[in-house]
Amino acid sequence: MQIVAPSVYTSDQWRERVLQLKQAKPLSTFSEITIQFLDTLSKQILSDRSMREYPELMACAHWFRKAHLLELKKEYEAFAAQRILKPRGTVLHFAPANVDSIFLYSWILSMLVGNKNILRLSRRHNEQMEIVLQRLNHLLAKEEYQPIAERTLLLKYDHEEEYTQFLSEHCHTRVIWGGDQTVKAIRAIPLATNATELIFPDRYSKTIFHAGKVLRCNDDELSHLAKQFYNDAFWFGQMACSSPRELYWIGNSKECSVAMDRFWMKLDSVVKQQGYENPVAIGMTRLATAFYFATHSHASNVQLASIHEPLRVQVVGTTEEMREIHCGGGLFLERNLNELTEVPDLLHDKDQTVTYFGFDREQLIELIDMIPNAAVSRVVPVGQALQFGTVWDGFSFFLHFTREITLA
Amino acid sequence: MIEQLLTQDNPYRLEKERKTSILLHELNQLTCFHSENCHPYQQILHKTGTDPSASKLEDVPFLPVQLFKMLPLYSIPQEEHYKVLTSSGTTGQQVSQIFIDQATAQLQSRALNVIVRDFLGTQRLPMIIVDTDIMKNRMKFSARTAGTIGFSQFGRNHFYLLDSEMNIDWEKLRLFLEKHEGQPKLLFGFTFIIWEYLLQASRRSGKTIDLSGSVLIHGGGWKKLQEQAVDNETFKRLLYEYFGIGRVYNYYGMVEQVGSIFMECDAGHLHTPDFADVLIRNPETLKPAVIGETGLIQVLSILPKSYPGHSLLTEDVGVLLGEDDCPCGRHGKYFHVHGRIPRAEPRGCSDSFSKG
Repeated sequence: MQIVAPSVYTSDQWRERVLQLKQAKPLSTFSEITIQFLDTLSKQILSDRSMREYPELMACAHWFRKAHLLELKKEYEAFAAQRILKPRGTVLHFAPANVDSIFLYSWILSMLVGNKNILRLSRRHNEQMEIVLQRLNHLLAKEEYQPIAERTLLLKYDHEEEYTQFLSEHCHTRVIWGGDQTVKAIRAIPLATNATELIFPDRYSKTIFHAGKVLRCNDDELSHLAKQFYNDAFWFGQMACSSPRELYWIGNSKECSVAMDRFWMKLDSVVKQQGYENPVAIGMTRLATAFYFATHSHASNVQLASIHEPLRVQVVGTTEEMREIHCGGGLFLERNLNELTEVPDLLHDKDQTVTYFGFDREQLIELIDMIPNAAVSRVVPVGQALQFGTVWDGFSFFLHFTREITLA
Repeated sequence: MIEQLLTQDNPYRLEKERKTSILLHELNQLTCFHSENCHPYQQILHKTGTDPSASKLEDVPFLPVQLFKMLPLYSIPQEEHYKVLTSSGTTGQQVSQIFIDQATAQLQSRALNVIVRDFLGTQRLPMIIVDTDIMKNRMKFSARTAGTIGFSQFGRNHFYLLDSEMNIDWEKLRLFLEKHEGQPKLLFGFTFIIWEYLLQASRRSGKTIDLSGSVLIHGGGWKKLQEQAVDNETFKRLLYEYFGIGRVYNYYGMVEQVGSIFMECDAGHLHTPDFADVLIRNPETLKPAVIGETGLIQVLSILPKSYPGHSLLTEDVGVLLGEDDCPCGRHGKYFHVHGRIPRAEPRGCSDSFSKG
C-alpha cells in the first residue's frame, strides 16, 4: 500500500488517514477553495509544455478550469433548486488503469458537491500521470489547500482484497471504473450496509454517418469531421469505452461507398498528420484480429493497412465474439444500411455511445425511442465521444454523489 | 522433393537460388492445399484479397501466430487429428492449438532428426533431460512435452534430472553418472529451466558435477532470462565453469512450426535448414527487410500439411546475418533472435483491478 497523495503522509499510516478523512467535515458544495484549487491545477497542466503530447489530459484540464467549473455550478444549482442536497460523505473511486484522466473527472465532480474522496490508482507507471500527481502534491502541501488535503487520499496498491475490504467498509459510495472482470472482483467485496455503488464496466461504441451528408461536405468540413472522429477514436488508442469501433453508413450503397472512400482518405491523412502510432504488439494483435474477423461469415472484406493506419473490415453483422475480441488500435468494423430505422435492432446492452454525423434531433429522438433493450446511454455528435459530462453511462453524478433531505 | 530433402544427411546443402525455387514451389502448393481444405484459411486469403500463388518467397501469404490462439485451424478431417500441440502465450490465458496428423508428425520427426544429427552425429549418448518426467495425455501436448519427446530420440538411457518439485535428484544423478562413467552425455532442456533449476540450483547448493565432453541442447526462448539480463555468452560460460560442458547448442523454434527448428552453430548463428526459411519484416510496414536490418521474424516451412502453418509471422524480433556464407560452412540463411516484441500496455477502461 502506497499513499500517492498527499505525499506528506507516510504509507504505513494509510488506515489512520482513511479514518481521519472519514471524520472530517464535508466542505460546502462548489466551495471557493475547491474551485480555486482546481483552477490552479488546471492552469499548471495547461501551461506545462510536457503535457502537450497528451491531448486527452489537456482536454481534461481545460474541463476543470474556473470558467467551466462555474458552468457546472450553474448546472448544479438548476438541479438543486427545490431540493435540499447534502454530500454523500466519503466516496471511494477505483480508477481505470489507463484512461488516465477518468479518475480526475470522477474525483472532481464528487469533490465539487462536497464529498471527501479516496482514490485507488493502478500500479502501472505512466509518465503523464506522474507529472499530474507531482503537481497535485505540490498544491496539497500548501497551507491554503489544507482543507482539500485533509479530504483527499490517493492510494496505489495491487489487488489486495483486505485493503479493498477496509476501504469499502469506510465509504458511503463506491465508484468502480474498469473492465467486467474488475467490476466483478470488486463487487464480490462487501460494502458498508448504508453505502451505494456506481459501476462503469466494459462498453462498446459506434458511429452513424449520413452518407449523403458526408458527400455534401466541402473539403474543409470533411477535414474537420475527420479530425473530430480522430479525437474520438484515437486519443486512447481506440480503447476508451466511448471510442467508436463499429460504423454504420446510412444511405444507398453507391452513396455509402463513395462517402466511405472520401472519409477514409481524409482520415488517413489526419492520422498521419497527428503522428498516431500503434505499438508493434498492438499492430500484431490487430492483424490477427482482422484475420479472425475474415474467417467469419459476417465479414465480407478486410482492408489491410500498415500498422499505424486505420484497418477496416466490412461486415454484414457482428457476433458477440467478434465484439469481445476487438482489440482497438484503429480497427473498424463498418456496414452499410439503407435506413436509420435499421439501427435500433443492431444495438446491444453493452453499447454505450453512439456518435453521429448528419442527423437532426428528431431523427435521433426517434432512434432512441426505438431502442428495444438496455443499450446506449449517449448519443452525441462525432467529436464528443470522449467529452465527459455530469451524466455518464446513464448515471447523473449530481444525483448519485449527493443525498436528498426531505423537509415537510 | 520433401522426401529427398529429409533423407539426405546434410540438411544445409542448398544454395540460395535452388533453395528459393524449391521452397517457393512447395510453399505455393501448400497454400493451395490449405486453401482448399481449411475453410477459415481460404476465407482469410479471399477477404484480404491475397493472391495464393506467389512469385517470390516474400509474397507467400502468412498468418500471424496469434491467430492460432483465436480459433482452431486445420486442413485434415477431424478423425485424422493425431495430436494437438498447445502453447502458452503472451496474450493472457489463450493458448495456441496446433493440429497434427500422423503424416505431419512423421515429417516433423524426420526433419528434427536430420537437423540434430548434423550437430550430434549418429551416436546416441546417455541422455539427461533437465525436466521432470511428466508425460501428459498423448492428445494434448504442451510445447515442453513435445520438445522433450522430439529430442529424446537422440539419446539413450534417458534420465529425468528434476523431481516433481523441480529439484535436482542428486542421488539418482549420482547413480546415473556412475553407470555411464567416462562417457560423454547428451543434455537437453528448456533454456529457462536449465538456467533456474540446473545452473542456479547448482550454484546455491555448491555441488559440482563433472560433465566434461558432454553436449547440451536447449531452446524455448530467452524471455525470462532477458528479464534477469542473462545472455547467451553468460549462459555458455557458466555451463562450462560448473559442469565442463563445452558444446552448447541453442535452437529457435516454436510449437506452431514443430520440426523445422533453427540450430545455433559454433559461430553462434541460427541456421535455416533446406526445408525451412526465415524472412525479416519491417514491423511497421511488414515489408521484407534486408540483411542487417532488424524486424519481425517470419518463418517458412514445407512440413505443415495438417494445418496452415507453412508461413507464419512471429512476434519475435531478429536480424538476418547472411546467406550461404557462414564460417561454419552451412548453406542457407543464418540469423539472430533478439527476443519478443515488448508487450503493449493495454490502454482503455479495462483491467484496473482484475485479479491475476
